[in-house]
Amino acid sequence: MVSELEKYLSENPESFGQPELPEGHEERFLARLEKQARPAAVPKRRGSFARLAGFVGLAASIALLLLLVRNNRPPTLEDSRFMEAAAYFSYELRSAAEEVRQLAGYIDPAYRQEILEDIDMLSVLSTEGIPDTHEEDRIGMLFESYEAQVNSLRMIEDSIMQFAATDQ
Amino acid sequence: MEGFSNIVSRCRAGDRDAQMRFYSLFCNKVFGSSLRILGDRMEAEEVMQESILKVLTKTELLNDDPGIMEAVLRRIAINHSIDLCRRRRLELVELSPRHDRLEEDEPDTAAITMADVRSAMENLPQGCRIILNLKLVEGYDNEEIAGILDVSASAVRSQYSRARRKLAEELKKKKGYGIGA
Repeated sequence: MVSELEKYLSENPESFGQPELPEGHEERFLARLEKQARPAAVPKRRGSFARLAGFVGLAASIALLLLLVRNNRPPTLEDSRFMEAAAYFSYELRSAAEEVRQLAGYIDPAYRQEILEDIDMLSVLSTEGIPDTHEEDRIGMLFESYEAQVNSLRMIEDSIMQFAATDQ
Repeated sequence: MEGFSNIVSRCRAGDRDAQMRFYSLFCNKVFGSSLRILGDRMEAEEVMQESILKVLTKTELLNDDPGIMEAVLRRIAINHSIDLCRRRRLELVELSPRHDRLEEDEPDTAAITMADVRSAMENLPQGCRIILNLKLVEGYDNEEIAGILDVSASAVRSQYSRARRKLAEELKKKKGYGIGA
């Protein structure tokens, strides 16, 4: 039976009031908007990982160049940015998958093979279905794929840790 | 005053003024939804801004109906907030069995103010606060909450029942008079 309190709260959610936003929030949002609009959509890379990602990006760019030359279309800056983003997200995804693979010893043996296969599948960035449209939209869709795959890897990680905790 | 659909059209075209206008229309409510889950103002602001930015950059998410747009934004912010909590290994609080007692423990609602309710909610464990907010403030049903939290609907029912009891317990500690603003 619904209590009177619950009934009142359900019917008057606005009674919870509207908290005030921190001062300067509009300026911070404007800064985010402008940062998002700038050409450097891919975060800076550092150290040895940067060099590795750089080689991957270069290889991808060369492959693209050869493909475009064969098709008689000069490459554009937009193509290389998409490939650079794909290389970066692919590297990040492989790193995240490797972290989860380190936990293999904690996985219930009954499901270990199946879970490792899932991790392998999630470690490869999916570019399927990304149409040949405006470059920012394409990179946005690429990020969506990356985000969905990384979130799935995190959920697998959480499940492994929960199993490990209850198995003790 | 400019119509909402005109603002949305200009946002689709990347008009910066329209984007800031769009932000001002929704920032408060979306911030409230995040804050009630996260409990931290700066984190809630970040989640709110990321949610609105996501919609402005993925223009297929823009909608000409302001009611639908608000619901979409709040849902994105709630999902993001829950995800943050989950990464911190959030656990819905396992309350003691005494919290399953019957309704005779519920406080007299005529003696409680909304300030009491807000204060009591802030004192609850995070898991309880999340469940109560999703159910009572955001208006999701058990199946929707189960989807958001990635738990079973029966777990939601059980946790909601216990969270409600916990809220009643907190409210009993306070003395307030008359339900009102």
